[in-house]
Amino acid sequence: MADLETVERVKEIDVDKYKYGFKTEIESELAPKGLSEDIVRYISAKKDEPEWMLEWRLAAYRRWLTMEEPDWARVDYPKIDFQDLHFYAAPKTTEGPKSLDEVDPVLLETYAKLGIPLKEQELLAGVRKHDEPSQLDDAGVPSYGSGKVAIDAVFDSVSVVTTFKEELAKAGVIFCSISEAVKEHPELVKKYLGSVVPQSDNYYATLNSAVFSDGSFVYIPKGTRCPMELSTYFRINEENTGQFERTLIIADEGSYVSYLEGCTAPMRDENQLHAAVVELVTLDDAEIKYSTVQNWYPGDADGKGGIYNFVTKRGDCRGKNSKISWTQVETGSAITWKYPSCILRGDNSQGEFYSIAISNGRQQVDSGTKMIHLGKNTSSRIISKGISAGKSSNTYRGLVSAHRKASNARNFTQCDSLLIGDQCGAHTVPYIEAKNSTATFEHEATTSKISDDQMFYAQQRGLNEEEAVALIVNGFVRDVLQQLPMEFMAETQKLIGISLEGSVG
Amino acid sequence: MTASPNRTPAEEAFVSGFAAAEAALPSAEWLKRKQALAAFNELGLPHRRIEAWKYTDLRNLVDGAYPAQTDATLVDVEQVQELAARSIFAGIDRATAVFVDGRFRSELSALPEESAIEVLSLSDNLADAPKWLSENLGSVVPQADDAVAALNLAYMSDGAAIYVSGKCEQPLELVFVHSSGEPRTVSQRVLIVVDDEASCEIYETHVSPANGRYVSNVVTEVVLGDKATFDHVKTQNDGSEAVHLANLHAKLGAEAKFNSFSATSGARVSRQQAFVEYAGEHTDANISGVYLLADKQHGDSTLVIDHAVPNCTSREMFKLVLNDHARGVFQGKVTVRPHAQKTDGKQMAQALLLAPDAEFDSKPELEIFADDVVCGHGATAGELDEDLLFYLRARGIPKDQAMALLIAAFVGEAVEEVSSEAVRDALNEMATSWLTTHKTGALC
Repeated sequence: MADLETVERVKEIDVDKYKYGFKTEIESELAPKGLSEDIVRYISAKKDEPEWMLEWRLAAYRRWLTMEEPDWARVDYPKIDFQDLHFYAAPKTTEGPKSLDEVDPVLLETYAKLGIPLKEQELLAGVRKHDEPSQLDDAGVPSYGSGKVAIDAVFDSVSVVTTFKEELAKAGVIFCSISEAVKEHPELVKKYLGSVVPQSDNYYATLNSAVFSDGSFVYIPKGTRCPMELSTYFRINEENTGQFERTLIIADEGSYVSYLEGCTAPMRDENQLHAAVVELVTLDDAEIKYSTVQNWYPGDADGKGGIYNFVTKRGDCRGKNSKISWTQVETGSAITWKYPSCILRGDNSQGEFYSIAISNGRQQVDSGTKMIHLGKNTSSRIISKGISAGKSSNTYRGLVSAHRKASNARNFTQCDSLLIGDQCGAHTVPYIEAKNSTATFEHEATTSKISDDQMFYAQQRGLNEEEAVALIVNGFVRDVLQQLPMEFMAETQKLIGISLEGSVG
Repeated sequence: MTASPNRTPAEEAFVSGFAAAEAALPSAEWLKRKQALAAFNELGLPHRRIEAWKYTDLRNLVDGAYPAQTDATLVDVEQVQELAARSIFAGIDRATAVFVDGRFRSELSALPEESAIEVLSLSDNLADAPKWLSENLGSVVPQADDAVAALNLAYMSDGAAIYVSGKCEQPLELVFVHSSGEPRTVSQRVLIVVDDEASCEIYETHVSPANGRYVSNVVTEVVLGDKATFDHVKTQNDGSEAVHLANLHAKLGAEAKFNSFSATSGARVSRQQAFVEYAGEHTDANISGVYLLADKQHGDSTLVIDHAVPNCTSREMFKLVLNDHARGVFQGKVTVRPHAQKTDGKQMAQALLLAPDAEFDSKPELEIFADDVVCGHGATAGELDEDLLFYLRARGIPKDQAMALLIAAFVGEAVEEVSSEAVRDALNEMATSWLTTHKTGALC
């Protein structure tokens, strides 16, 4: 029996190196290569956007022309030729199917390979958190069952399937693609789009503002606790397609939402650019919990191929007593450049950042967070666990700052790095800026390897080397794993094992 | 050399003043002053767009022209003696080498009489330098991208060259006195070569009348042989209008022990950089310091510890007490190169903010390319712990005294790193007297 398991395991490791490395053959519609005002107009026209949206995009594009690509991050990659990319790709079946039956069966198959068959997802009520009773029962609001997951599936650039929409609508939650929101909720989009990450924020965010393809839009009305976890699965599919998601989540006064984002991408040789922008806004007493599992193709053993992941994620705790919590598990991508941040503007607001970043092979990760304390009595917490193996480089880069008026700001930061093998690098670059005396900041960082004692202990009990490493690493990242929603937690533990394959021995 | 159109007056003065100054400065064939100036001309003063100077923008902070000091000034002996007597090391049996406004003053110094140590004035010995001097001067300092070090080399007027061949009994104090007068830049250089198995204790004192307005640029190079021991304690009490720029570059041999401590309470702007490079295995380096800053003082400590070889340890402990509008900066970078296994590096920077407008910026950095290492850093910022204060006051200790006790204890942790007991006592005393003169107004 045990032998059989071993055989299975070996199969999984050798044959299925990158589990999600397949390519779906499906007709798609591409914009011509390159970037110009015409392409921006083309994208806008394809999406049938109103004039103000086009103007917004064009303003961003003109701004982008004047900007230079940043080079401060500890990542190394050949210069991107922006004129050699397609900035828009849409699967042909964009008519907005009303039910799963109308969806292209090839698409459904893709989801099935990803391990997230939508049909199953519809019935995925079994993922409820045991310790969390359905909050809506008592409040007299219709119950939806707290364990449900609604998915806004982004296949390449256009949302094709949205489930659970009606149920969400009953609660007053708006969960749709951003292109739909532009048309149907222009007042909300106009008010909040670009209010957290302005058009001119940085090179990639500006590029995104000009050519963003699609993404999710979430609005949680006042006093509403979103009845289910919202989730988007992103896939990059078409060859040479930059994918530029734009996500905007607004939690109105006293509301709560938990949002999951999981990503995988097919294996291929040419690097793919991914420059997303995610904006979160919490008003008074609202809370957003944003979780990411990122498992894009990291490139082959020599570092060829793989996704370039240049993401700008930022949350604005605009209201008092509001809270934004980022949890990320970064195992994929050839290059990750990502700093989910919190602007703690409202008094008593809270920001959290929990991160696991695993790099193997020749992956390069430069990730971290910014906690900007502006309001009074604001607090933030950063737990970052970096694991580097192979020939990878893993950098934590973070900023914690308290402004003059942010009295009683409080921060606790812990960044731990684990090194597996003597050819990888682990770096920690924290910036700590306390501009008033009542701020209390604590920062702690350690770097070490898995101790021989731990390995010996685990192996002595019959685990092989890789299993032992996976077990110890899972223990090392435990603090962060616990922050993940239930359905991600189990998957992530497995993912950690897969990501570290080939890192020992 | 093309002049950059937006040069600051300070930069302009540094570049244009060189032609006139050069003739008056001591020279040697191997001393590449011109190249250094050319490098500075390229670089200009460091500014906040340069990552390593993010928090200390010299283009902004060096506020006007400070022409280079080239010739000796008239010395008011009494004033110098009075200033030198303020040294915290005054009560310790030691030899002294006194430099006034960038020139060595043998008549005011009491050079060591031991045979284990040789002390030379740089300006007197450059032309006909002994081999250990000409070979080592500039050997540790990288000039390529450091504008401040380049400026130092271009304008260096004097300094000390110290060769330690055995175990020194008596500590040596280097006293750098700046008399008041016109704004100027004083560039000095210290070279300390410690032979294999030799040891020495060097003190460094920087003093000036209260309102001295000058730029003091000191570059210190330390070359430690195998099994050498080096203890260094520096107190910087430059004038309240002064700019203090110090570079300490150390190259450590195998099984050497390097211990450097600095206490900073002077200067309007100070930036102390320490670069430690390990050249042999089983070497320990300990760099620690205390900053006591008030008013609008700006104090920056930047460390780069380069673990290039295996089996070495590094320890850094910095404590900053910041009052009024003072701004403290700590940047510490620990690099562990590939194959530098068994490295043990620990770093701690803590700031105590005593006034609402005090500011602390910190960037402790780890850059690690080897897996079998234990490295860590910590950084904290905050005000005095109310609970601790309450505890003391509940026991009948007045608030002022209670605060002084707590601050002294905070500072004392770093002072502990100094090996000589007499020096530790002197440093603690200095901290106490700073606390009494700088009433922590906002909290009292």
